[in-house]
Amino acid sequence: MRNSMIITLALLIFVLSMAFATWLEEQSQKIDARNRQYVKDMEKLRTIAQINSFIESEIAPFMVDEQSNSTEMDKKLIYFASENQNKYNLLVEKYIYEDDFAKNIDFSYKIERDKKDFLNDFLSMKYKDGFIQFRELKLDAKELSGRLQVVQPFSIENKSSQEIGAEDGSPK
Amino acid sequence: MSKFCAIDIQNSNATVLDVEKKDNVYLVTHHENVEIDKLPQFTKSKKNLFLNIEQDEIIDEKISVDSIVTNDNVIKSIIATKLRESNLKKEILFNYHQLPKTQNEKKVFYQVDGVYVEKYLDSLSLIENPVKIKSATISKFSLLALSNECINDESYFSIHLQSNKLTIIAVHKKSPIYSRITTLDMSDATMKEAKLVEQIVQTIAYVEQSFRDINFSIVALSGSLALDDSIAEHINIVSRPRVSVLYPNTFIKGLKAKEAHRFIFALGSLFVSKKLQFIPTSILGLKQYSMGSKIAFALSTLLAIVGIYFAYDRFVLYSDLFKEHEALVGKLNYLFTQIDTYPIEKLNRSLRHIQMNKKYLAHHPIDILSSLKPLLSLQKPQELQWSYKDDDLKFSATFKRQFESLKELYEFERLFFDRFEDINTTFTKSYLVKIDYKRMDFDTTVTIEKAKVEKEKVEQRRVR
Repeated sequence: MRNSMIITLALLIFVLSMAFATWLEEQSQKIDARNRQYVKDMEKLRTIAQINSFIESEIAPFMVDEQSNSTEMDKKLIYFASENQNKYNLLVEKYIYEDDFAKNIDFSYKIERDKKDFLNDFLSMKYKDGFIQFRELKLDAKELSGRLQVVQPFSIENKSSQEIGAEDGSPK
Repeated sequence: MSKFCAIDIQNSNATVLDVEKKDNVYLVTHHENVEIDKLPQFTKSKKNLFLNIEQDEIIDEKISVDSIVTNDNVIKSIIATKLRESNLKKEILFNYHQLPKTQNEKKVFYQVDGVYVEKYLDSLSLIENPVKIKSATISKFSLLALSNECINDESYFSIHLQSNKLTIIAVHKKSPIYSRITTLDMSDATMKEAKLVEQIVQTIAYVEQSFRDINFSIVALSGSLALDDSIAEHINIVSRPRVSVLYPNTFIKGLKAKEAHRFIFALGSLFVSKKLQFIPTSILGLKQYSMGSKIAFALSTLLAIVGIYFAYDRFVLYSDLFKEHEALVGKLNYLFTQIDTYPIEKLNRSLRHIQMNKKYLAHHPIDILSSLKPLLSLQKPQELQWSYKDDDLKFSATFKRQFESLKELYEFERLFFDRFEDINTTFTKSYLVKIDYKRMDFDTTVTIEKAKVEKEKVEQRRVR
């Protein structure tokens, strides 16, 4: 009788222990999964911190103001061309046109090779509201000539509104 | 060291020996005579009980079975049937063994010994917990077992006298081939001695006559016979085998030589083989139940321990993971407070800026001119062309120079191409040489292209 009670008690302990162990195992798996997720989240946060640092040091200082007013953008391009037209003999190759990011205008240029200061200024010339992209550069015994593109970025909102407008049939 | 309790249950009293076994030597630590009524209480605390039970009525028969029957179960069944025929309505426990064959016999004789269960159980019921019984048998088998331990001869007689009960067994190859138990009821000592000698001598003669092929070498006396020299002398004179006294003291310690003869049956019960024991099925069932119960107890205890260990192990793992979890939550919260998450608009603007950089500022003539600085410092190009359209970049520069001597041309040429080779660029570089050695004119066009497709050099430089 005493043995039977002890056996029953021992088996009960075994069953309860196993049930408890199984519950702990399930909880452990849940916590382990959560821990792994947290580790991934921390890695993501560290990556975000690196991206933030990159944006602050490498992007933000050089970011140009994206315009939303189409007329204002045209004006800026034209004014920039006018400012430098005589200096570098700028001639319009392709009038204002758009791509995914910006309004552009293409010029040809021509500078005498003897004017070294002009040459240096020209090659280091910047457009403060956007970018200048060289398309072509030729240097011969007499002159420096070629083609360049002046880029005036526009904001995403502006692009979207223009696209919606285009779908409506209104002019861009 | 093992501890046993050997009990010789007689009609009105019992002899109880406490025995310890160590290295094949038995030590009798205590012996006591107990009244039969007090035996249950006395044996309550004892373990490993070896019983010798004196029975007034026993079965001692020779049963013949056809020699063609060789299967043990069939032989046992035939013997049981024959026993039932002669012992109607009485439940019996028996064992059997084959007697030596004589030539040309078609039947095999078996010596069958048994007890009547009802009376036998009366004696066994004196033991409160039958599970503690390791062995139980009757006197002649206890005598046989002890005799076999003491005597190495192949065939012998073992004769025991206790009170008025004379037990004679003839043993051949460790098995009893004949046994006789006689009670001598005589008050006169001289008459009793004469009768005793007569009984013994006649029995020896009868057995020797019955088993002529067997040469009995010893008559071993024990019990009261071992203490009476005159009886031994008488037997020695009349019978052929030499007479000796059973001497178990070589392997049983704790008793004097003469003292041991008072406990021959009790001591013998320690050595009885399983085949010569009589344990009723009810007790065997109880023993099996007890064994099963012990195994179940051990298994369940083991399971409980394993379960507890397993649960503990899981708990430790859970606890460690929980600590790690808390530490991670702390770190994560700290990082959340420390790291700003920029609004999506800002990120989009940054991304657009990167994309625009890639699109509009990927290439600038200055980049290639910078990499050509070592050449430009050596000789200014006469012509230079750079173009970038639809991800197709091409640069070419023509270097011309006239020399006064071939040596100068040679040295310039070497320096020029060494510097050209040293130019480090990811683009494909090549050159076109049109040097006029007669007029000593250096004329080379260097081309650098973005390698969309690997182009072969226009002209390989001469190996010098």
